[in-house]
Amino acid sequence: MTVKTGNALTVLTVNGVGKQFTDGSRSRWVLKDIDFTVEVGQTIALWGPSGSGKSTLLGILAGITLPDAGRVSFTVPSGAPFVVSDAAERARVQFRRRQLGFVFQFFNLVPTLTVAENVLLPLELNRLPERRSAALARLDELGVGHCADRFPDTLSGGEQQRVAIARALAHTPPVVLADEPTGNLDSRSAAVVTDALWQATASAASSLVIATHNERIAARADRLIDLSQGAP
Amino acid sequence: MRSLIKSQGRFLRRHPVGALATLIGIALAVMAVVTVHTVSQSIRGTLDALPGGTFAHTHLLTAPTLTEKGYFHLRQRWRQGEFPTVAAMAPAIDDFMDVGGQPIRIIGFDPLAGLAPAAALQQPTGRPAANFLTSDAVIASAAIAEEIRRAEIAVEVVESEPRPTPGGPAIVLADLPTAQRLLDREGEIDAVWLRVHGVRARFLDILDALLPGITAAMPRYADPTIDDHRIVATRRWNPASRFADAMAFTLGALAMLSLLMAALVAAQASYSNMARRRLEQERLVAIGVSRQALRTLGVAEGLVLGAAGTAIGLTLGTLVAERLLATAFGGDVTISTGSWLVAKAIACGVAAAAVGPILATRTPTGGHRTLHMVGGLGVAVAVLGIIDATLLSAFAALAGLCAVQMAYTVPLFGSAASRLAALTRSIGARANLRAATVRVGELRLSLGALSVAVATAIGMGLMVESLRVDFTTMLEQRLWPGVYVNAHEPVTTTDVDWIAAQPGVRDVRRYADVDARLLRGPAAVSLATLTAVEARRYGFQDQLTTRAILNEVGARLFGLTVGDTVTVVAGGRQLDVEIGHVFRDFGAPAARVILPTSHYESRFPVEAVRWLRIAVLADSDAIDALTAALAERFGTANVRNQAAIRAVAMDVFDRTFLVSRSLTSVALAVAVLGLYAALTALQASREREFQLLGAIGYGRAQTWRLAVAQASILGAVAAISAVPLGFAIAWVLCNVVQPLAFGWSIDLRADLAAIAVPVVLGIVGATAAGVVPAYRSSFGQRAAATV
Repeated sequence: MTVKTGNALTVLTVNGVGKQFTDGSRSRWVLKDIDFTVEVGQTIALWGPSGSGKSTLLGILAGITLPDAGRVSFTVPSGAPFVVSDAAERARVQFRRRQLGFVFQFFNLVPTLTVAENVLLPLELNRLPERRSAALARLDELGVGHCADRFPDTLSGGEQQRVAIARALAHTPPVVLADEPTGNLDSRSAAVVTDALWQATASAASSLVIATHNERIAARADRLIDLSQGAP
Repeated sequence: MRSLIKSQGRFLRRHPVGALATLIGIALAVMAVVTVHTVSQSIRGTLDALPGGTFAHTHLLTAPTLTEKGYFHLRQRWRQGEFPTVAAMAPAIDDFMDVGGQPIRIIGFDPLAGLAPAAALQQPTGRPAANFLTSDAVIASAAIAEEIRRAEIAVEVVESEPRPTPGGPAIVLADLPTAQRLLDREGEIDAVWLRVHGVRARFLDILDALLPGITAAMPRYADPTIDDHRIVATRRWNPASRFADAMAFTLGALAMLSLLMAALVAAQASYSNMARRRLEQERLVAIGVSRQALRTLGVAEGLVLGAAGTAIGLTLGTLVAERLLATAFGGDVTISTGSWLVAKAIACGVAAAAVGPILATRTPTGGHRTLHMVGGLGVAVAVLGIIDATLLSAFAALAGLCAVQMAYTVPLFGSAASRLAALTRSIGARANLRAATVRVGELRLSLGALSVAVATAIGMGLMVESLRVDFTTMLEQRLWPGVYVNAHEPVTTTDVDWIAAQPGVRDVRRYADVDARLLRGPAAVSLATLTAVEARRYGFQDQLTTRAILNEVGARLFGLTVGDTVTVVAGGRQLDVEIGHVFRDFGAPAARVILPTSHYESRFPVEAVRWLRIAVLADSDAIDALTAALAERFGTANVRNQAAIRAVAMDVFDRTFLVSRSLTSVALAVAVLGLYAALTALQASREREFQLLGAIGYGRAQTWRLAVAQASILGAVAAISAVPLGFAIAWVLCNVVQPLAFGWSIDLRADLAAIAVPVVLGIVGATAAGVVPAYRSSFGQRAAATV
C-alpha cells in the first residue's frame, strides 16, 4: 500500500521521532518530535548547525540507529510498508541494502576495492548482476569512467564523491541518503558534486535526503527540514 | 603534560581491552622466554652436575708415529713460541697392562708438567700422594691394588679411585717412566696432552648464560694446528658430556628462536596498543604537542605494562617449566633460575614494550630504509653463515633467515595473496585479499613472529620425523625379533650350543668387547662375525673378514671414511684395519669400531676377549619361553626381549623430543596470542570501514565474517610463507647442526604431517585470534554508533 500526499507517492514517513544521548548521569534529547514525509523523486534537505542531529536522523532513517521515540516507515510502490524503527537487525540490513543508497562526507569508498568494484559492490550484495553495465555507465555520466580501474586513494576528493554517488545509485534505490557530501570539498568541487548528485538521483527517479549546513544546497532542495531547534 | 597524562589515563579507562591485550601479549612473551630458559638451564645444570673427567688437559695430540724424541722436538718448538695458543704440554702413554691375566688400562704421564690430574693425585685426606712423585709407584683402586700385589708386580701402589670418565672402568695412573716400564715400551708415547688458552671461553660463558645450551657443541678453545699431527679437544671424548651437550644444544637453539619471537610479540603488542591512538595523536600534534612528549608518555605506559607483564610472565613461565620438566623427566630435574633469567625477562618484557611506542610515535619516514637494513643484514648473515658451515654460523644463518622472513618473505606472500584477488569473482573476497597486503605491513612484527614460530615447528618437526625414520630403520636392522643377553660372566661356546638347541631359535650371535683403542684416540672396540647376515644389521650387504666397520661419530671425529685405515692398539701390539663401512649409530656418544673376530684374533691374544653379549634370533611365538629360559641361565636382569629394547629406545627418543616439541607449541601459542593483541588494535582501526559497509547493506554477521576471514588470510600468509623457512631450518638442523654437533647425519624427508600440522595450527590459531576482535568491531557499541 502506498501513501498519497496530494498527487505524490510517499516512500518514507517519519512520525514523532526522537533520540536522546546520555553523558554520564545527564540525558539530552538531540532530536524530538520529528515529523515529515519523503515523496518519490523529492529532494529533502535536513538543515541545521553542527550537533543539531542531522547525521543521527540519517542514521535513524537508514535503520543504523534506532530512535528512542516515534517511528520511521518505508513504503515501496509494489509492497507493504516496512517499519524501519521496529524491524529486527537482519530486516533492517536487508532494507538498507535494497532500498537505500548512502553518500558520506568522509571515508566513502572501500580502499581495497577499485572504483568499478566499489560501484558493483551493492549489486553483488543484492545479486543484481544484470545491472552491471548500467552501473558502470553511470560512472561515465558522472565523469569518472576513466578511473574505473584505479583505487580510491589515487582519486581527488571530488572524484571520490562522484564515485560514491555512482555506488549509491548502482542498484537504483528509491531513496538516497547523503551526509554532508560536499563538506570536505572546495567550493568548485562541491558545486560539481552537488550537480552530479541532483542529476543522478533525478535520472534514477530516486528521492534524496541530504544533510547539510550549506544554505545554497539547502535552498536547492524541494523541501527543507530545519533541525536547528530540534524540530522542523 | 598534566592534561596529556589525564587524557592517556582516560583513554586506558575507556579502552581497557587494548591495554589488557598488551599486558597479556607481554606476559605470554615473557612466559615463553622464561619457560624455554628455565627448562634449558635446568636440564643443562642437571647434566653438568655429573662428575667430570679426571684430567686437566684440553686437547689431545696424536700422530701415526709418536715417540719421546718426537715429543721433545715438539716441546722445543713450543718453547721457541711456535704454538702461542698452547699453555702447557705433557707426554702420555695410554695402554693396557697385564695384571694376573686381566688387561687393565694404565695411563702414564708427567706429573710435573702442569697437566697432572690433581684430584687423582690426592689421598682421601686431601693431601698429595707424595710417594707417587718420589717413588716408582702407581695409583689404583683398592681392588686393582690387591690384584697387582697378588700378581707380584714390582711397583708401589697408592690407593685411590681414578676414573677417566664418570661411570667408566677403573684405571691405573702412573708417571711416564713407570708406565713405560710396566708396559715394556721404553721411549714410546701414545699422545701429547695440551692445555690451550681459553680465548673464547669468556664470550662463550656469557652466550651460554644468555641462551643456556647454545654453546654446548661449540669449541671452547681456539684449536691449535701442528703440521702432521692430529689435535682434538678432549671435551669431545667425554660420553656423558657429549650427551649433555646434545640435549642442551637443541634447547639452546630453541631458546634463541623463542627469545627472538617473544621479543617481537611483546614489541608488536605494545606497538599496536599505541598505534590505535594515532588519530588522537595526530590531533594533539596538530595543536602543538611535540612527538617527543607523546613518545615519552607512550614509553612510560609501555614500561608500566611491561613491568606488570614481566612479573606475570615470570611467574607463569616458572610454573609451566616445572610442569613440563615434571612431565618429561619426573622428579629428576631441579628448577634453576638466576639473574640472567630475570634480566632476559626484563629485556624481553619491559624493553620490548618500551620499543613499541617509540616505533608507533616516530615520524612516518624512513620505515622502508630500516626494513631494508634489517632485511639486507639478514640476507648477508644468512649467506655468510651458510658458506662458513660451522655451528655458530649455522645459527647465525638461521637468525638471518628469520630476519629475511619478516622483512621480505611474509610481505611477499601477502602481496601474492592480493594478486589472488583477480581470480575471485566475489568483490568482498577481493577486498579482503587486497587488505591482506596492507595489514601484513601493519602487523609485520606479530605476523613475522607467528611465521617464525610456525617455521620453527615445521623445521623441528621435519628434523624429528626424519630422525625418527632413520632411527626406526636402524632399530629394525639392529634389533631382530628375539632376545638379547648382556651377561656378567663370559659366554662360552657351550652356552651358545645350549641356546641354539632351544625351541624356536633360528640363530645365535655372540659379541665381544675388548680392551683396545685406536691409535688416533679412544674408541669402543667390539668383535663380531661380520657375515652378510650380520652386515645387514648395520645396513650393508657384503661379508667382512678383514675390514672393520666404524660408526658415524668415529668417522667424523677422526676424519675417516670408507677405504681409510685405522690402527687398533692393545697390549703393546698394533693392527691396521681397513674401514669397510661407516654405520649409523644414533645416540652413540663416542667412536665405536667393530672388527671381524678372526681378524682381531690373528694379531691379539684370545684371552683378552670378553664374550659377554649374545643376540638370539627366534620365532615370535617362542620368544616368551626363550626369554624365561635365558633368564634362568643368565639372570633376569641380563636378558631383554629385543621388542622391549626397541620400545625403551623409542620411549627415550620420544621423551627427549617431548620437551622441544612442547616448547615449540608454547612458542606457537604465544605467537597466536600476540597476533590476537595486534588484531584487537587493527580491528579498532577498521571501525569506520565497517560502518561504511554497514551503511551500504552489510549485516553485522557479514562484517564479522569478513574480519574473521581477514584474520584467516593473515594467518595463511604467515603460515604458508613459513614453509620455505621451515625447510631451511630442517635442512640446517639435519645437514649442518646434527653432524657438527653430534656426529650423526639425518636424511631430510618431507613429512607431510610435520609440515601440514603447524601450518593448519597457524591458520586456525590466527582465525581464533581474530574471532573476538572481529566480534567487538562488528557487534560492539561503537559499531552501532551513527556514521
